[in-house]
Amino acid sequence: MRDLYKRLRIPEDASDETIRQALPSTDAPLRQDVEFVLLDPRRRGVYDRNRRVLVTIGKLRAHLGLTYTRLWARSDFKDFWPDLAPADPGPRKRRVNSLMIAHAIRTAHRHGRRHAARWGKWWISLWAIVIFALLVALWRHLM
Amino acid sequence: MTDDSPMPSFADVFHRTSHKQSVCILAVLTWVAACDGRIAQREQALLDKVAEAVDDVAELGVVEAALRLGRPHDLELACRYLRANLDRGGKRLLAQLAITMAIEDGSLAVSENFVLQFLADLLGLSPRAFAKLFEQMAHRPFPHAGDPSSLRWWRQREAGREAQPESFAVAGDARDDDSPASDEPMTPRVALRVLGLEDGASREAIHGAYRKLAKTRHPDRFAPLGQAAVATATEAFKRLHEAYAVLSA
Repeated sequence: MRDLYKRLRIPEDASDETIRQALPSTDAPLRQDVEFVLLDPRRRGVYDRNRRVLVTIGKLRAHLGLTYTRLWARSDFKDFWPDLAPADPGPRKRRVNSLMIAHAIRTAHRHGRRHAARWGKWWISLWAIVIFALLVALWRHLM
Repeated sequence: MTDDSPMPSFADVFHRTSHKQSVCILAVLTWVAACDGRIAQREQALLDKVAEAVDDVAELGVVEAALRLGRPHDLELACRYLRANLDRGGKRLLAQLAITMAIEDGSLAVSENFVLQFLADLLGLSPRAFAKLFEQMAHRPFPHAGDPSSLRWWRQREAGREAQPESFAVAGDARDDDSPASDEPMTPRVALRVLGLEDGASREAIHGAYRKLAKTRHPDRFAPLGQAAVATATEAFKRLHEAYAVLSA
């Protein structure tokens, strides 16, 4: 089921006149559906009732972590996925996209590996010195 | 009820009561009853009985009044509690109770179909398990909700209603949301619908369907969910028995 109001970008209490004004901007199949459903008071009443239930369910699913479940046909109800991001996040100095995040993770991994390698070498050197010192002490003691 | 009403909110009742499970079950069942736009007289009577059944919680009426509006934050509170506190058996029983409530009038509205799908997900039932459960409780397969935003759905629905004005609810996916189906008197046709049977069902089929449904919908089965659940199941069971009495007379 689609959210016809969302597709038309009009409020849910829009008048018939407002709906008619929004129609030219839509494609032909959607226009036919809107005219048939929203411009008939009885059909619109039934549609509005079902839509309200889906809006409530969409919010509940999002808040309860049930958006990606098996019975929820996501392609059928994608209009009822609420936007959980804040409406206005404010000015952002720098855009972050997935490529930048991937690059940051890769860099961190590389750095981590180099870091680990250096520490490994340091420990090997330390152990070598300690063992050498012990061997020298032992040789001097025996001699 | 508005927010500045002197009545306590659902959250107030929930935090104060020691019968949290009953309050949450009532909340979910009220939503199932009210999601098709109105609570029919029979459904109202059923909810009143449930509220009376839990003596210690005088404010269950408040819960019912608040939940009629289907406010997401109230429902979220109830859903969170039930999901976290019911064990696997309890969740299955709650799903059965919600199905019983939704098909109380013998048909399933589109909005009720959506709510049942949500509850199945909430209670961790797979689509297959839920369809099986629905078939056990309703004696018919779980219907597809359809798309009320499409012209095609409306044409099919209206053509079906003209062709078979009274049996539409039995044959189709859902009942006409405008008709007060829940308040219909118990005629043989309504009784057949309650038992999940088609017109012209034989006496053996009627008896078999009643026995099967009586076993799955018996109120004693819902005792683990508390008094509210048992009261709901008892009232729904009376309706089933009434249907059988009409058909076997």
